Amino acid sequence: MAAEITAMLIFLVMFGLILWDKIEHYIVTLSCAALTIVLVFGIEMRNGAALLRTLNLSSVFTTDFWHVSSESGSSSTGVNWSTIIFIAGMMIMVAGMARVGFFQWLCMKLAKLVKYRPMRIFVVFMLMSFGLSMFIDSITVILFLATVTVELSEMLEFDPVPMIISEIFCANLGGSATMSGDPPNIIIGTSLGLTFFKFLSNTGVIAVLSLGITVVFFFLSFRKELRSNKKKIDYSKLPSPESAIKDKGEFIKSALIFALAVVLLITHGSTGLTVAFIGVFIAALTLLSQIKYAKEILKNVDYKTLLFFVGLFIVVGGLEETGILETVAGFIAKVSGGNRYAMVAIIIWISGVASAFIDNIPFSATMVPVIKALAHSQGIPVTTLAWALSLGTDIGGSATPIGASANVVGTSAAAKAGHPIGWGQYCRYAAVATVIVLAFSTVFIFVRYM
Amino acid sequence: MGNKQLLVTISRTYGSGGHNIGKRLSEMLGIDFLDRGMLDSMSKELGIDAEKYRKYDEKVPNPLRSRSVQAMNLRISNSPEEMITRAQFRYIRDKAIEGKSFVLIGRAGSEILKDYPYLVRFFITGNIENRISRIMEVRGMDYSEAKKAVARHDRTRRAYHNAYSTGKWESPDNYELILSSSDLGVERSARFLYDYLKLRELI
Repeated sequence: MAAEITAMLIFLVMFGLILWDKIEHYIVTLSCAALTIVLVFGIEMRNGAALLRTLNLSSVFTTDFWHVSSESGSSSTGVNWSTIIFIAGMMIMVAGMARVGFFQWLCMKLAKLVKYRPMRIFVVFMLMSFGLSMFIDSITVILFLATVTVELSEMLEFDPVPMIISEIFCANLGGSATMSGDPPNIIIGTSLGLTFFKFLSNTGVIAVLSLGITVVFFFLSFRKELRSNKKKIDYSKLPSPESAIKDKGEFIKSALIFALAVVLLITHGSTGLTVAFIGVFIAALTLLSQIKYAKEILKNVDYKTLLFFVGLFIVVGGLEETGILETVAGFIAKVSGGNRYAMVAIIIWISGVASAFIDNIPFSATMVPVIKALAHSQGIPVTTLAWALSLGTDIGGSATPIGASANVVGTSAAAKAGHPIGWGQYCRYAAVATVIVLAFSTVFIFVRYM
Repeated sequence: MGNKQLLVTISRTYGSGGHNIGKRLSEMLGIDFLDRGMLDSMSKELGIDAEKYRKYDEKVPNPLRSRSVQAMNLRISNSPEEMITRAQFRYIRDKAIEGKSFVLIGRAGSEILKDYPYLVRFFITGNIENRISRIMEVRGMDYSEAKKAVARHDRTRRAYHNAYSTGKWESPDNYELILSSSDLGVERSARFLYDYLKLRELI
């Protein structure tokens, strides 16, 4: 009992400190991980095997970690090294793409293709935000997209706020469509042995349909703000998309590597290559293709985020080993009275509301063992609960300016450019869209899976 | 004033008249005066609307309304308070680097300029009853409203200073001189600080 209480206390302190935001998050999770190792595993449980299971280091040295023969893949507990290695690999690929000017080029090219009409840019950028976020971390997508949006708004004289809010929403929605789109999905996917294609054919379908609803909703909400400017604008003074490209050869190589990453991810269910393998392979290709700048690219890898994940998984591993998450699963089963519809609704809406206010990464990492236990005890397919958790955490994160990392990056870019977005202005549109999409997702899951 | 640069920072409790004393001192010295009006000059340089940021000036980020994330090795915060604070710090330090002399009101000046030579750090306070009376007079409030306003503003200023400084707001260690303006009033307090700078052979 003491171990459960200690693990829970450490977890709550970690969550509180992340919310408090005064200490760097990776220091918080690593310190709490050290406490978990010493107090929970060392002093209270005196269980070396549980610690080794949580550290999960041996998994990296198995063939299954890099290549699996069955399509379903393998599931894991404790530190999710697949997630960490995949994210590191994608960070390297994205840093390489950013260095050669890929993202600015893409944004400027699309704006030019739609003849710089604000309403068209608005729709195209929403679609691009969704599409890119299916494969790339939504933070990076918004980092570039919001910056270009602000630049275009200054040149074309329109209000960038409606566009930035819509882009953020679509980035989070795009993230929900695939296994690689959002950290919660990578965690859910690698922990439960799901594939990219499984996500695409389940959450992906819901996300694409939701995208249609979202585009219509934001179009109706912002049509007045984005009416074309009557003023004559000299388009020849706008920077050409090609001016963003630093080196044409490296640019082409980067684009090809990205395309290869997309193909490998889509086919990994049938090729058997794991996301960890794809991450390492793509990172190696990126570094080799830009060997002169390898050091610069590696410097851009966010080690702090990777360390944050290591600490987080150890703390959640502590909770898992003490069995407290099974108690949480039992509680959900009890509250829902054994009703499967109620259980799915609880997972999706609790995840949605929680993710609107707290970091959805620790939340989803904690909920994975819960849905596993729930599926086991209640006889519900774990995938149904996985889709509910994924959609709840990814889409719920859009509701407020602090719900997801993309929201923070987007609203920060707006504030720096002279357009601070208050909670009222943000939630008036994004929270409403979130409720609509979550309601749609709930109904879809009920109809298709139950 | 000679050719030497002079940087004066004034931290102040609410109702102490620290702002007016600083303004008067800058007039006596013939140097710039940086207070919340700084936002207007910054907005011209940054091309932003100062009015949108006024309510976030000299405030600490609200941890329940904003968050920071780690992206590409950058710490990105979406707090408008944090954004305007960082921009002001840059603006103030740029002025100092340019060699400008100025009197700076609040904004954790004693901390952000601590590495610059010719820096003098003052703290202006006053008797609590005098401060409440002054706020009643200047803001047209009744006693209880003014008392609450003094407590509230002191709390905000303390939180802001402490969030961006290594030293505490009220700690004597942070200042060269702490003055109660209650008996001297604005004009004579400014004169006193002016004479002090003369004695220090800074002017």
